[in-house]
Amino acid sequence: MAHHDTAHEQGTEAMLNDLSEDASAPSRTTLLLMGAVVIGVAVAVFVTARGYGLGELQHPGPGSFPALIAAGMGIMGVLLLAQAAVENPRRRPANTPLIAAGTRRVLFMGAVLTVYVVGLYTVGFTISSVLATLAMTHVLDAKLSWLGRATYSVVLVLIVELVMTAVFSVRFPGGLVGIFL
Amino acid sequence: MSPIDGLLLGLEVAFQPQNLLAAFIGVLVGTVVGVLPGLGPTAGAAILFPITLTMDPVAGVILIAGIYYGTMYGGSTTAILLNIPGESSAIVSTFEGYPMARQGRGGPALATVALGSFFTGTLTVILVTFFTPEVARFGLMFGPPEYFALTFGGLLLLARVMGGSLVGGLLPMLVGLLLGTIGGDPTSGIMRFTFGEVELTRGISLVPVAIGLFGVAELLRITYASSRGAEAMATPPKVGRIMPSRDDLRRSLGPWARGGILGFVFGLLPGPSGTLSTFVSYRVEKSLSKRKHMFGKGAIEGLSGPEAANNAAATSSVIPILAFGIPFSSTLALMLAALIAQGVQPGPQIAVTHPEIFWGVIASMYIGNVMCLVLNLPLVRIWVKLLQVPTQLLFPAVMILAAYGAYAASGIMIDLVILVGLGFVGYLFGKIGFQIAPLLVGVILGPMVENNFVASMTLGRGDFGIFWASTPSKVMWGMVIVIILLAAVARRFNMAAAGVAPAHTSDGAVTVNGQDDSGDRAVNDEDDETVAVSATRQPQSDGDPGDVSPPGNRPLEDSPPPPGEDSR
Repeated sequence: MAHHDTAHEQGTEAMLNDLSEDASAPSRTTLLLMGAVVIGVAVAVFVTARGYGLGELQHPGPGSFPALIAAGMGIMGVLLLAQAAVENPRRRPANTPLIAAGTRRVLFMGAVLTVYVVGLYTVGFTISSVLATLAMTHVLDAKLSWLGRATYSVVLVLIVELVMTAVFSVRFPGGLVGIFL
Repeated sequence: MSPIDGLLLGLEVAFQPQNLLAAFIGVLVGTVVGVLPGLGPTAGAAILFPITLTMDPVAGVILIAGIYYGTMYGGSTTAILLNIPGESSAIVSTFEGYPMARQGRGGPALATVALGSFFTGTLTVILVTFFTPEVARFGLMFGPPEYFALTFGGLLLLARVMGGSLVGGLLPMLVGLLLGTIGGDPTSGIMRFTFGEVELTRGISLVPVAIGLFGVAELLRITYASSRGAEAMATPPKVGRIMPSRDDLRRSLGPWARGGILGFVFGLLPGPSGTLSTFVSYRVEKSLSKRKHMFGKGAIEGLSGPEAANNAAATSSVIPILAFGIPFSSTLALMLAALIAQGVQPGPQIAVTHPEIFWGVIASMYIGNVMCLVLNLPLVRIWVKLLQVPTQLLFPAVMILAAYGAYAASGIMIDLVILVGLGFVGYLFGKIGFQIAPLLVGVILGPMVENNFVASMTLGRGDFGIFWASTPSKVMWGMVIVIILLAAVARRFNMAAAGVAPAHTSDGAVTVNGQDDSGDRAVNDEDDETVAVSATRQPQSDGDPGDVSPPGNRPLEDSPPPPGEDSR
């Protein structure tokens, strides 16, 4: 139990270090950026929707509903900008890294997932899934040796592929590599 | 068909081997998902969603319903034994359940939860059996303007009642509605927002949207917080004997009944009704109890009431789905999506057009409750062992399963791009306190909202007055306005229902004051007590929870309103 409590204390310390980087309330910069993006998307949607035809009030065209959504998004974008205008700029505490540990892990994971999707198109499901699993266990710092992680990745993907093929009767694409096999 | 005849038909359907198997798998997987911290019911249901497509509609919906119930039970297990609520609705269970576990009464606490959930769940199912057909009959009087009020009004409620800022609720809803317009226009057939991609002409598939928003986003959140909470799982806690004493049961009967009624009513409302009902039930039990001083030290009334409320809310929340085809939470949205994906349109007509689905799902709730009871009591020790599975190995497995599942469901490669893309969107939205549930529900209800909007405008010859011309429309819009105003007032005054409710970035991710899942949770009591629950730091005293706020937590009245809450 004492060991459990000590572990809890250490966990608390690690947790508190992470909490500072975990602000849910968006910063002024985030609000500005989001406001601009949302307004941009709203304008693009409205212009595209107009191209589909807005119709008349008694006979709304295919573009009418998307145009209404675009109008709503535009208002949301303006509200985000207004919120940014009244928000106080946040100061980053001294000695804190520019990119916090948790964010760095998410960025790495994002890169892994992006490459994974590209890999699914090019080298197919099996190979890219094994490599992605290996990369994910690395990013997450799994308590296994490289050989252990590699074995886990191969076994996992083979089991998943086998089960999914059996359940769905679907052949998973082999990508560009599959063409030559 | 009378409710009794319908129920008999439903039991006949639910007892078919494939449906029993679906209920068993659903409850089993749901419990596992609920036990594992981080993966919420929506993420679990989303990842298993493609499997429902290989089943017939009844079995598919029963599977998802089973996951829903199973996660409720599973979430309570970690809440009681480890002080880690697997689900947002299990947060209240930590208040009394964890002190009970520390006193070596973890077994009776878990058994009380299982028995109480079974007891109230079954009672609620009986109410649902008689209540749902009446509600559905009311819905038969609806035309396009009333359906527009129901669908769009429901979406607005979902976006606003869940908490968070105005933009944080409405923007994701609008994004969801926009995604719902992708593909062919239902009246003219013109392709919209397909950008020349043939794979998008049939519209955006619900499977990658659901898995991306709730599965992949949840996994990214786990990645973010992967350094936390692992220590808590290093040593499995001792459960002790399982069965509660006669005194425990006697003290639980009242809270079960009160919690059941509260939960039933809350379950009919949009938003995180399960979570809210647990907080309200806790407050009710505390105020009625003769042992107020025991609260925070392991008062069983404070555990059995909220757990009963949670289960009752979970059961009654299927009424809006079956009666109107309107989901009030993201997991229920997946249940709806499972039906739509199979070509079944839920709504008032479903009891007539597909009685086997309507009554089969209701009857399966009885069976699901029995299965939860049978699974949970004897297997408590196995669930505890499950907590030792390292998330570092679990994450890749879930991700790979999600990718294979998304492709298997449609055979379309672009779904994988949507899966990962919306995973990032879900993560970022959750990170800044935006709601994710309205986005998913927006995608699902979008076509219905648009069709009813266009039909109403045509019917009213361009007059917007058509939307509130009839009495049902007026009543529905009135209810939407009143509930939104009440929620705003409740938030303003930091009342129990809204003020004590934590904010959620998704089903499994709980944030309070911007803090993240598996971190600390702080709630404010009416008596200015601050109840803090930590995944890694346990209360220093067994006394008043007001003493246990760890650093980093602030009482809610010192802070802006919770940035966002999500679904049950």
